[in-house]
Amino acid sequence: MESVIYLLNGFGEVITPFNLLIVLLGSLLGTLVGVLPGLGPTSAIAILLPVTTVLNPAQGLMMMAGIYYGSMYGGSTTAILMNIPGESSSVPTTLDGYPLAKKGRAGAALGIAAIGSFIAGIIGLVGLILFAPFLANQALKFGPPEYFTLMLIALLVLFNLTGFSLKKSVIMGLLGFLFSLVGIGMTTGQPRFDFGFSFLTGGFEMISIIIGLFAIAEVLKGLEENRSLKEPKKPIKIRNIYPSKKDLKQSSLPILRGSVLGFFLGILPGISATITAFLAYDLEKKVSKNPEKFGKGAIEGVAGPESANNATSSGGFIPLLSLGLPSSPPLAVLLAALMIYGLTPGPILFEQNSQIVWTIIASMFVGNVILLILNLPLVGLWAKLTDIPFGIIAPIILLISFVGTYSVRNSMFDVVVAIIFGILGYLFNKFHWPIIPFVLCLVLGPKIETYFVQSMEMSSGKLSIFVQRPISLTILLFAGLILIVSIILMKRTKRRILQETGEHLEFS
Amino acid sequence: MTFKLFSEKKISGFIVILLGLLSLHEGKTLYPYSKNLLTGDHVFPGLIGILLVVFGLALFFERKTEEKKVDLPTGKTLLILVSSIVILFFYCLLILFTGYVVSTLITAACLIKLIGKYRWINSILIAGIVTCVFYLLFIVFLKIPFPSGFFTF
Repeated sequence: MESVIYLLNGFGEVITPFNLLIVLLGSLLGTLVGVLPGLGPTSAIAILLPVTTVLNPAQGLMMMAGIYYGSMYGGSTTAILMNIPGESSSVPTTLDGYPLAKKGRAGAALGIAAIGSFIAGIIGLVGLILFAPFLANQALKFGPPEYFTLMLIALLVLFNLTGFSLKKSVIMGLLGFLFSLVGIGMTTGQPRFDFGFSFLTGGFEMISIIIGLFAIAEVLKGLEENRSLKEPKKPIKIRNIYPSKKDLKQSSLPILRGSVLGFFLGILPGISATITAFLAYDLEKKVSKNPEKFGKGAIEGVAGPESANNATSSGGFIPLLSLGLPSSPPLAVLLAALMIYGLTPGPILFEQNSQIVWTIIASMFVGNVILLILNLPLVGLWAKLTDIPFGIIAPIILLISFVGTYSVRNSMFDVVVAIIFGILGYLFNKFHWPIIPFVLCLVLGPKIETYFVQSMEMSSGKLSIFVQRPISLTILLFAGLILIVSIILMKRTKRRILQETGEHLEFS
Repeated sequence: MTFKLFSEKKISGFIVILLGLLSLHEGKTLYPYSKNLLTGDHVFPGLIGILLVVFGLALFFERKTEEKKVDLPTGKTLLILVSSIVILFFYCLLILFTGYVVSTLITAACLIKLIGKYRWINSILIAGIVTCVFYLLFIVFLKIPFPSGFFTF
C-alpha cells in the first residue's frame, strides 16, 4: 500500500509539462537511435547519456528510462520492416515479423509488437512496484560479505551469457576490473596504475569507455562493411498501421505468456532478453494448433517474443534498483548513469532517495504509454529514417560521441580514451572477444572491491566469512543453481541463434 | 606438429600475461601501505594480476583448435578506417586551437567526404548544417563549455 502512495506521488512529479516533455523527448530520441541499424539500447543510452547530464538527476533519469524503452521499441521496427535485428534479442521477432511485413501486414506486426511491449512493460513495472521495495527491504539485512558474494556470482553467471568461450569472457571481465582500478585507491588514498601521469590519477571515465566500445566501434564496423557504399535496405511499405481484432485476439494469450515468462526469468541474473525471447517463441510454437505457420508469418511469433523481451528488460530493473545488480549491458550503462547522478542503486536507494526512485518508476509508466500512443502513427517516419545514408549517420555518431564524452568531465583525455576504446572495441569484435563482461566488470569493479575490503576488515582477513554467514552461504548455493540453469539455457539459445541466423552472435 | 607463434591466441595470451604482470607489480608497490595481506589497495591489483597471468598462460598454451580465419580490412577500406580515426585525433587537437565551431565544421566536412563520398561542396554544406544544429544543441541549449580557441565563438 505504501508503494502505491509513493507511486502516486511519483506520478504527481512526472505529470508536469516540462517533465512530460522530457519523457517524450527521451522516448523519441531512444526510438530514433534504436531504429538506426546496428545501434541497440546499450549504444543509445551510452551516446545520449551525456546529453542528459545537464538536467537534474530525476529529469535526467526520466529521460534515460525513456531512451531505454524507446530504443527497445526502435529495435523491433527494423527487425520487422527490414529483417535487421538491432540486437540478438530481436532475432525471434524477425522470424515471423518480416514474413508478415512481406505479406503486407507490417502494420499488424508493428502494432502487436507495440501493444505486446506495452503490456509486458506494464506487467514488469507492476512487478517492480511489488517486488523491488520488498527485496530492498530484505537486502537491508545484507552486509558487505553478502553483497560481495552476490555480485561476484552474478558476474560469473553473466560471463556465461555472452555465447563465447568462458575463458575469453573471464579474461575480458578481469581486464574490465583492471581498468576500473585505475585512479585513487579506496583505502590508502594512493594513486593506482598512474605510472606518474597526472591524467591517470582521476581514473577512467566509464562513459567514455562505453561510448568507445559501443558507438565508435559500431561506426568502424560499419565502415569496414562498406555500409556507405551499399544501397540502404528498403523497408517494406506499411499499409495499415493498426492490427485487426482477429490479430489482437490471437495475440492476447501469447502476450500474456511472454510477459509472465519474461518477467519472472528476467529477475534472475544471467537470464537475458535473448534467452527469454527465444523461449517465448518456442513456447508459442509448441502450444500452437498450427505450428507449421511459424516462420511464415504467424502473429503469435511476434507477440510472444516481443512481450518476453520487454518484460525481461522491465524485470531487470528489480535487481538493479533494489540490489544494484545489472542483469544486462544496457542496465549496466544505466547503473553507471545512476552513479553519475550521485545515486547508489541498492537497498538504501529506496530509503534515501525514495522520491527520485518513485518518480523514475512513474515516468516508466508514462514513457510506455507515450510510446504506444506515438509510435504507431509515427512508424512511417521511423521507417523513413532507416533510409538516411550511412555516410551521414556515421560522421554524426562520431561527432556526438566526441561531444558526449567531452561533456561528462570537460576533459579531452576522456575523448582520447573513447577513441582508443573505439579501436579496441572494433578489434575485440573482429576477434570474437566479448565486450559485455568487460563493461559489467568496469561498472561493478569498484563496488565489488569495496565490499571485499569491508568484509576482510570485518573478519580480520579471514576468507571463511563468505561461507560462515547464513545469508552469504544461501546466496552461494542459490547462485550455483542459477549458474547451472543459465548454462543449460545459454547453450540452448546459442544453438537456436545458430539455427535461425547461421552465425554466432554475442548475447545482449 | 606445427607451432604457430603468431596465432591470435598466442598474441592475446602474451598481452594478457603482460597486463597481469603489470597488475602484480602495482599490487607489490602498494602492499607496504596496507595493514595485512587481504585488506588494502593492493589486494585487487594482486588478485587480478594472478588471475590474468593464469588465464593468459592457459590461452597461450591452449591446445590448437580450428581457429576461425579473421579477415582484416585491406586497401581502400583500411585507408578509410585509419583516416577516420586520424581525423578524430586531429579534431581533439584542432578544437583546442580553433575552438568548437571551426574545428567541428572542418572535421564534419572531412568525415562526410571520406565516409559518404559526397562532393566537397555537398560535404561542406551538410557539415555546416550539422555544426549549426550541434552548436544550438550543445552550446546554446546544453551549455557545454568547449574550448573557444583563437576565436571568441
